Amino acid sequence: MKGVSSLSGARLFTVSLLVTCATLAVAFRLFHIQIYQNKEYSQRANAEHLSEDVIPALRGVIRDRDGYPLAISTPGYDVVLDLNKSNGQTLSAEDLGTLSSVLKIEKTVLEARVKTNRSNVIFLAAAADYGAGQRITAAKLPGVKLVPTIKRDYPEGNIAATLLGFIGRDNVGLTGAEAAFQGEIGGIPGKLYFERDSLGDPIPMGYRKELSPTSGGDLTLTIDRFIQKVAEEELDKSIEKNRADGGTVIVMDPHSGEVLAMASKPSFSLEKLDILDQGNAELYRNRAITDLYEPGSTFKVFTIAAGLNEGLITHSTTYYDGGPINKYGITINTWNGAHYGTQDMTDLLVTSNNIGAVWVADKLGPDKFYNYVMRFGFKQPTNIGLSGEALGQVRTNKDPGWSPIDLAANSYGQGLNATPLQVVTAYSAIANGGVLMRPQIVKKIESDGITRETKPVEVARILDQKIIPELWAMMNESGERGSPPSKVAGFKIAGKTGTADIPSADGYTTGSTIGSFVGFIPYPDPKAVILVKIDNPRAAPWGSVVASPVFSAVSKRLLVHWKVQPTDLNSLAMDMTKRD
Amino acid sequence: MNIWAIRETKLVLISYRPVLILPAVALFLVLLFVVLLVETGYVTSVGYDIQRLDQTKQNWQRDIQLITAEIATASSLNGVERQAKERLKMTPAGSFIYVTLDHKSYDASTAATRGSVRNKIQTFPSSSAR
Repeated sequence: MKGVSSLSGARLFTVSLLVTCATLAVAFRLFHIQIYQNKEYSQRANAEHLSEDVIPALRGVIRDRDGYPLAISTPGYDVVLDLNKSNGQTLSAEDLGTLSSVLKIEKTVLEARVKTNRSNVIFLAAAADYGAGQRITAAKLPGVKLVPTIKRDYPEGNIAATLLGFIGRDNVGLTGAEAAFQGEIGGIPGKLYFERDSLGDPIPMGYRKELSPTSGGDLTLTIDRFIQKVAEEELDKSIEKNRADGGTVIVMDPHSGEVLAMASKPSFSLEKLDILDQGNAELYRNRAITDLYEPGSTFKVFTIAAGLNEGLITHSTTYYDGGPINKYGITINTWNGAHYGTQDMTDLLVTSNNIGAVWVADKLGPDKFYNYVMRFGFKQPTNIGLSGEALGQVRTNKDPGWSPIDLAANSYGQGLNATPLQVVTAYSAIANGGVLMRPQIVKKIESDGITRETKPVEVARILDQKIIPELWAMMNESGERGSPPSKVAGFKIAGKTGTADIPSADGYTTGSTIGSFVGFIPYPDPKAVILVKIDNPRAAPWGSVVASPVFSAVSKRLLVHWKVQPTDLNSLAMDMTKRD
Repeated sequence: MNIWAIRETKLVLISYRPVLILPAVALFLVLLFVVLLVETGYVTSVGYDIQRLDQTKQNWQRDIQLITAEIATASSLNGVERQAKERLKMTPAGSFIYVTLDHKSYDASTAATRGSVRNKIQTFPSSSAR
């Protein structure tokens, strides 16, 4: 009996041990799941019944220098068709017609979006305005859902499109100032966590936690909306009249380096933007800072300025233009084949004589010449603060592959390239008494009650103040005695025309040029430097014919806008007589 | 023994029986749940009010944004030009006439009423000058 009892005791012990072990295993597993893996399982559980939405941050306003909004954020809606919520109904032709008229999208486009999409949630339109959203809600279209978003509006229309740029559907700036200052004006999106039902909709009294978005700061640009509009209007007129491919107009305050207008064409429509259309990609870049061109004869002013500053020439220094010259096996001629014999430096600029420019560059020598080219800011960024700025190409005598023929060609603006912004900045240094200023596009940024104002930045003194009156007088002669002269009735101007061939892989393209004019108004009290560049004009190839009239037209409207007193009453009287 | 006294004794005895504690606890729990219910109702109501006020605030902010955009559009160059043309029947100035005023004969009182004339020059749109 004792043996039996001892056997059953052992069995009982074994069973107890097994049960204990099993219990411990279960307890251990429970501990592992609930304590050790708590975070992971909590996340899985939350993912099952919690959902999160991004609350878009209100993007800051972009203003012009006087505070007028150029880009502003308003509430809008992305419009989607959610087939899960349509109770089996489909959008009828009438519904699509309603959507088409409210969203201003072709009915066929909407039909295609509905039919070609295989997902249950179909994106119909991005950033519809608030009023459109209200009308869609009132129409009670089956399955059509509005997702709140931020819409970018442009009160001034399409002006400064390439400068302002645009934002993507995620509210992030993609081009222009919108991209360059994303950190300042973008804001920080918020998040909304909520308990959802089986269809993904929030449970009315369920868990809900909101992290509020932070609004972006406001950006005030240096551009003046009126001057920008004038620049664009006159540029458009010239492009149309001269059947050109495009062009650029930049207006700069030479004393502060502030850009008052920056227009480049071709451009795009901010109001009818379709970023999904790849064909538009070419239109998005701001050609004033991204595109390089040979400045041509407008560059001669820098050659003359360097010669004057070095004391090698004065306005009356003469040289002899006896016909085409041969430099290192290359023949250099004047732009029109005319030759002038003995000519002074002023007439060199007036007649835009390549041979004279080569003569001055030879007197300077490569070291001094390229020293001035670099000091004027070529081949380096202007640091304006916009993305995509090109540096320009100048092969100096320190670079491999340089030859003396480069010096000759560079003296009249060929064989090197620069952006329109670099050229206008360098001209501004001359108009500013020889001091180069950093170009500015931002006037101030206001964020969280803090205002950061941009101060003018002096980069370097390039020219001695003493030579400035002489240089300005030569530029005045050049502008007003050119062929044809650049005139603004009632005022004197100073400037230089330029006509440059367009480089290609094997030399220069034939039959296409870039015509330009750069100068300041009024002479001798510069208030603005204006660059006009017309790309591939077909009506006439010359800068004096295609770009100079734009300079005159813009100047005239600006001087009236600024209420500047006319100083040249003779030209004013002549102009009035001509009109009568 | 008085019948009432017997009843009193029974009552006392009954009141000490454990079975009477249950209704008391139940009553207490009912009261507790009622208090909790009232409190939850109050909290829910406050929560709802907060949500409603939050929504009202958002609506105001949305209206401010929409009105700001409307003002911006109205004060834009195109907006001003449209108003000038349509409401005031103005036409764009085609040319300008500069008038030099004679300072000596210029009446100071006229100057005061017409505003300062800077640098002897006034500009007039050609349409109004002619």
